[in-house]
Amino acid sequence: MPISIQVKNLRKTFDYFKKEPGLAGSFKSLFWREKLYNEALKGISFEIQEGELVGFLGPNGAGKTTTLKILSGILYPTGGEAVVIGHVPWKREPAYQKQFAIVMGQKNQLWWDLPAQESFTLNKEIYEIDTRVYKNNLDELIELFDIKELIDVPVRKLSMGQRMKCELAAALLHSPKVLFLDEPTIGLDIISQEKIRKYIEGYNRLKKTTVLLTSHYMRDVERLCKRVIVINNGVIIYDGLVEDLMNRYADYKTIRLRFSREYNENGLEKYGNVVERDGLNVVIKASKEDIAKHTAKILSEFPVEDLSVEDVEIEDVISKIFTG
Amino acid sequence: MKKYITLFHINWQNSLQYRFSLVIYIGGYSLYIGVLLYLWSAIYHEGQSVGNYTLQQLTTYYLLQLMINSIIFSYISWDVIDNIKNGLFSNFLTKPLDYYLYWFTINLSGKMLEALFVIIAAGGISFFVSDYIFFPEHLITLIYFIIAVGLGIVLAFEMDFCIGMITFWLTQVRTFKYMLQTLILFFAGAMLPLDLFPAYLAKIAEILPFRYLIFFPASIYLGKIDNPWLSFLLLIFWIIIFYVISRILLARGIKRYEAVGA
Repeated sequence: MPISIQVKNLRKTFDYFKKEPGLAGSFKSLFWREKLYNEALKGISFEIQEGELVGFLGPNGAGKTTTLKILSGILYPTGGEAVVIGHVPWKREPAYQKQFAIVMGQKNQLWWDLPAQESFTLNKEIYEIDTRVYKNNLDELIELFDIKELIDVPVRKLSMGQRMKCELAAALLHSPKVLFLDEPTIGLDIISQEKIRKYIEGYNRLKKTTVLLTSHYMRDVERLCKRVIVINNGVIIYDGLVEDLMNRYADYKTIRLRFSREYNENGLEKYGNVVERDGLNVVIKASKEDIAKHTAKILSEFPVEDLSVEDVEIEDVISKIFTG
Repeated sequence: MKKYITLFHINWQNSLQYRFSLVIYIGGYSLYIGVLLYLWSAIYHEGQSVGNYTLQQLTTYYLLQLMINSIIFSYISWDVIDNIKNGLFSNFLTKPLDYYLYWFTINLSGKMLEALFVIIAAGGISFFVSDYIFFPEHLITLIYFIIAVGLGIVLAFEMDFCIGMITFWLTQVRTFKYMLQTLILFFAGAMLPLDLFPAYLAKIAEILPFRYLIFFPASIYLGKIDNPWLSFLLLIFWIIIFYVISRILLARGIKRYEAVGA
């Protein structure tokens, strides 16, 4: 598989001015300001193959959006290299711009007072899409995203989830080879989130488009991506399969128990950490390796009414990484 | 090119979404003109004469001032300011679309639509008060006038675009914009024809390019300029100057935006 995105030692430093609090500070800053630096990216490197769907994960301010902005030519890096489908993004060549798209969950690109259809028409001209190709793509996207009834309604009257679907469709009309998604599910309810995930996944499968998506909803990444890049404070701290991430950081499972009557509290400790205890309900974190043996023992030694074993949530894994 | 034509159409559709505000616009406009006519005829009745303007010429000047103000003056910088401030400008950097031409098209399309409504409104009003209105004798005067308005639209856009560009460096650009706008309107002749200014102010106004936005086209209409070709050349010269400034500011602004981000 050819490489689609290649990033080498990418750095970005923002400078800003310090302002002392209060009115006196404001006056002072008129004449003299202390310059401060914020290293948003401290030299990150990664490669993404064509057709991959990769999740970019990290807390707010970790450098996710900065990376996407550099890769789409909005920001100029302080140092390092990046090549996306053979182009250096910050040169902003039209040949590159016609082959990628970026959708930012918090920024509306559609004409607010007009039906999405009009924005689609404008995009057709902006990207100089051939009329036949455009018709095909539009029909395909209307079917895939189920937006037939939505595109003739003024955008301002759509719900957030509906708008996001139209935003995505507008960005995909020119069949980009690379798609950057910045927080595509932000502000959506759970059902809409799930739908958007389904559409992204479907589109990636259908078109083999390379997708790099940032999110702080772990579900997005868990559900969509095989591979995940975890970034914190401008440094990549994990790059690999979601599965391996889980294995490496989640060496335990959660056992949920409900007892039918009073039980001997002390006996449970040897099977794992009791993390929650509420009357007859108990939650235990138990080591993965002995999980079968331990559950069997618990079942035989205690008056168990109900028992379930759960995998660790990816949220827990991530927070474990970030808190060290 | 086709993308800008489509943009032109879409912006019309967008503006026509607010039909009601257009009705209010025309209503308010008529009211303003009524008050204006009343005021000036009262002043002239007192037996005063104002410079070398007859009552008819002066009321026509103010009527023209109003029309030209809507047709020539660009107000897109409000949107440009918002656009850069809230980061939507980022979208333009990712698309094969020229930011200058984008706003030029939006402005032109808006101005054409506004011109249409203003001409309808002004035509209706002048029908009722035709005694107060001056109509040029020769067709050529009208042609010169239309050329002057056309060039004025371009120059006004460029100036306004430059003001919008300041947002890249100064976040509190709105107060600044108000200040500049008042200054430009003043030296354009919106409040008073420039030849009624005191001598020293008239001299300053003569040098500044703002006169081309109102005073110049209005003077042509009133038949006060017989041969406008030299002024047209000067106007084109200013258009080129401001085009270059716009481009430089945009290129530098993008450089800054790339470094700082939204």
